[in-house]
Amino acid sequence: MDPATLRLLDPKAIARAETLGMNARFMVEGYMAGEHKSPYRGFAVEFSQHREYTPGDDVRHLDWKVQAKTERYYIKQYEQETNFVAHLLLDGSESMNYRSGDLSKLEYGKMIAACLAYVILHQRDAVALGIFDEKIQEYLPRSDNRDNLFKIMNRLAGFAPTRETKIASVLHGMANQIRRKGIVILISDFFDDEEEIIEGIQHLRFSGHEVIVMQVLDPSEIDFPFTGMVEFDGLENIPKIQTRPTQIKKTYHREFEAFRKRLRDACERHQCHFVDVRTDEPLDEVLSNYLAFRKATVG
Amino acid sequence: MNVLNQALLFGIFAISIPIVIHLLNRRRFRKVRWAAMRFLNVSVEQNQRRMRLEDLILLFLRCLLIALLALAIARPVVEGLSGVPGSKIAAAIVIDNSASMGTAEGEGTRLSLARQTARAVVERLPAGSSVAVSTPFRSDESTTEHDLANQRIKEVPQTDRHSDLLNALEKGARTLAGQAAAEKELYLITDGHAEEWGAFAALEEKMRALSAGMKLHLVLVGSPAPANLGISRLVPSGTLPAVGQPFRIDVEVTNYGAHAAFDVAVNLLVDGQAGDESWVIDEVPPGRSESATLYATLPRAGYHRVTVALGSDAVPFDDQRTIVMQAVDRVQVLLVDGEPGAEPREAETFFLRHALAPVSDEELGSYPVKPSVISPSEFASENLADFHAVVLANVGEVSMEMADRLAKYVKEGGGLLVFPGENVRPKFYNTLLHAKHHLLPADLVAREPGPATQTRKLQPTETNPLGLDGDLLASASFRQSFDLELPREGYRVALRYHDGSPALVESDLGLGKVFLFTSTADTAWNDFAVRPAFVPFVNRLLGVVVQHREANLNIEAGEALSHRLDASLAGREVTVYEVSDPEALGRLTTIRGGEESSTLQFGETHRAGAYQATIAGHPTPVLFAAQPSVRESSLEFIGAKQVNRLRDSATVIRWNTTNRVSEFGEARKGSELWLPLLLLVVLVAGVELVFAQWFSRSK
Repeated sequence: MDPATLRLLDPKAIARAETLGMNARFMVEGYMAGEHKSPYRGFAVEFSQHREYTPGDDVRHLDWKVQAKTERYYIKQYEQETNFVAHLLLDGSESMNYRSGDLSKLEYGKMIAACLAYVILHQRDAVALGIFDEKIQEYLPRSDNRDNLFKIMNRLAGFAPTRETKIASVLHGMANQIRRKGIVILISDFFDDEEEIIEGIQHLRFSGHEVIVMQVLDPSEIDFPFTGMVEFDGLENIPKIQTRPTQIKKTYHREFEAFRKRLRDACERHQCHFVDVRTDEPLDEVLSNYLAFRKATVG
Repeated sequence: MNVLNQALLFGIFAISIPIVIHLLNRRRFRKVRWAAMRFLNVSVEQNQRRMRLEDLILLFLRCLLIALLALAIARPVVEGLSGVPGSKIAAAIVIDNSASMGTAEGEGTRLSLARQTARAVVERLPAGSSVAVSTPFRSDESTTEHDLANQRIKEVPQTDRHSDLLNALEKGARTLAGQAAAEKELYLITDGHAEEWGAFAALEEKMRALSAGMKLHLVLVGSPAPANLGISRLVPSGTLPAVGQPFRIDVEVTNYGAHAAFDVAVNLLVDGQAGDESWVIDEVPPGRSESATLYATLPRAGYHRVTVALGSDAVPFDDQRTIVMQAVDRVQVLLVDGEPGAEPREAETFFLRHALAPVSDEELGSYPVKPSVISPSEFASENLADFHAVVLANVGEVSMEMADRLAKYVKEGGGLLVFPGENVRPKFYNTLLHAKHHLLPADLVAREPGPATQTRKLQPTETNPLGLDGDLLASASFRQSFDLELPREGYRVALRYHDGSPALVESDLGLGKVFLFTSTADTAWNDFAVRPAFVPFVNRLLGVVVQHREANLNIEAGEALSHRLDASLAGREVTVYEVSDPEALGRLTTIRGGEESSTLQFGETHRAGAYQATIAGHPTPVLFAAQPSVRESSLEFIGAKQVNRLRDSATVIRWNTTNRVSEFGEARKGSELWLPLLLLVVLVAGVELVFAQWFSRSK
């Protein structure tokens, strides 16, 4: 594994994330028995609930204790633990190439994807990777083989952004393609039409996927610290703009925060986790904070 | 609108600087590759018009700031605008304080009217204007303190001098030179006395030249006096005023008016005291002069003021004149006789002795001149300091010791008269007295005797310093004499022979005086000694020698006194005050040192009359007198035609007690705008600062 590829794995982030694990927030359709609850209830390992007996039910699952107490027949239902599939979707458009510090948003996103893939594979879950701009440019089908991590990281490291982004079409495509319910982890700056993005997320949610939205932003995009006369050269073939940033700073902040709020509210509305990620924040903190939050809320 | 600093007006082009900076700043920017362009686009779209407007406002303010600053530095002047703060004027007021300005005018004089006029000029000057007050004889620095200017106007003194208005105008103009003001104004306040305007063409030309750079105002004060009777000359006829001896004073009275003056009393005052001596001139026709002769008797030895006065009139300065004379009570003369002869009558000094004391033996005791006769061999035992004059008459040889003593004696103020003769050996005179000590003004050269029938006559020179009558002198015949080999300078010929060769030469050495006669004092070579001219000749020689130390004590007003004193007085402080005003503050000066004498110099002789100079540590004060200028007595004014010609270059104002103060400055039109412009610059700079801060805040 070459150094560029290895650099995607943040040892600290992996160490902290590994202990917290990656649990499916919603029940996912596992293809293997694992740590995650499957909506396919049966009689496997863990009791889930009682249901009134109806003719035709297997009497082996009658709960006699309840019958003795209530003189009614109830069937015991169990939740089957299963493996989940995490679909890591990384925005590889040109806008992700912006950096004001050491790391560009794409590099940071790659590191997130790599670390999550490592953690997920490490807990014997499956990972699928998609890198997209206008469409899916790189795709690795799901796999729970740990050796697949090597491929994932190679694909991540080897990807170079060149095009504009169309997140919504990618999301709709993914919603149609993924048959089994799983976790879709969307890593992007979301500098696209947010209405369409939200529709895409909504589509994924309708398909039963858990969607985690990780918005990766550069601190300069949030703080807009520029002074003097500046010529902004758009990264996705957007015409240049010359302006004095201090004179539009408040308007910019207002617009930018409104955009983020709309995105956050939409995620909340559709029961998606929304994770704010700044590229100047340590990756281990970002991942551990989110995974800790997730563990607390999912259990 | 005019601009005072036109060259600086080009500074307005500096408004291109903010424009260039603005354009350069648009080119000078930082490039940033940016992802969140959609938010930037929205922000810029929302703020574009406002930002452009702000840019234009700031650019306009900065251009305006520089344009106003350049305009303020260029100092624009707007005509027809008044009362603008900062529109200062540089003014020069020249007040004529010549003698004619002392003429009575109403309850005061023309000068008091001129002072009133000058104060009116100052009153009408805008605040902060500079003003310089000067007279033909003095100029002060410009001041912006008008109280100080008024004080200087008040202190302008009356003089008894004649003024040079051309020079006064130049002085006034010089005070304005180099001053940058909206307007320069020069006020010449004078009475229009014709004598001051004698060089009218030159004055007119000067005023025309000055009017190109400043506004000239000719303020004429006063009106012609109806009459003026003045003393135009006062001359002492004798040169040896003796104590108690009547001394003749020749006086000339001139009528400058248009009507004859009758029964004009001429009074004599000695040391300010009127005596019995007076003279009445029956009639002095208009424009004519009449003489009067008065005899003054000086009561004691020393300095005396001799004043001749007329009745006062509207022009007071020439109603009296004063001269200073020194009376002597005993004049000792040492006669060194080189050929005593067997009998008194044959002595070389016989005629000299009698000419020096031309009285009978009984009267000799009371006669002031005391001649003593000695032989050359007795010279060594005489104390020369006891004598006013030493006469060498046909002394053959002069010893070295004798030459040294004579030189020292003359340098200290003594007089030496040399009469040669056949005993004289020129070599000794030329070597010791001329070459070594410079006692004699020339070398003696022996002259070949001509035929007995060939004689020469004496005649006075043009200046006739001894005041001798030419006819009397011509009565004497000279058969023999020495010729003189005269140097280039350092002597004065007092008498000549009719063939032009010098007969009597005088020179100064130290404080003393030397006369060298070329013929004998007896009748050996001429018959001068037995002619009537000889006694006054000898008397005048003695008078000149005695009075020499007190020479130059009578000067014209304005002329500097330069009076020689003993060398030991060098460095002493002297207090000089006018005798007519002893209470006034005396003016201090210091006696200057020299090689063989010291000199009392004093130039503040603006008023006519007697002055007393008190020398520190010296018991006897020095008296001297200044005479008023005769030219100021005339009553003529410049004519109306001349005044009209001057109107081409100057505003002519005739000022009298009924004039309004506001007449001055009525024609003043221009106002300087630099101060309002500068205030505007500060205001615009403040607005620019506030706007720049306001616009650059985060929006």
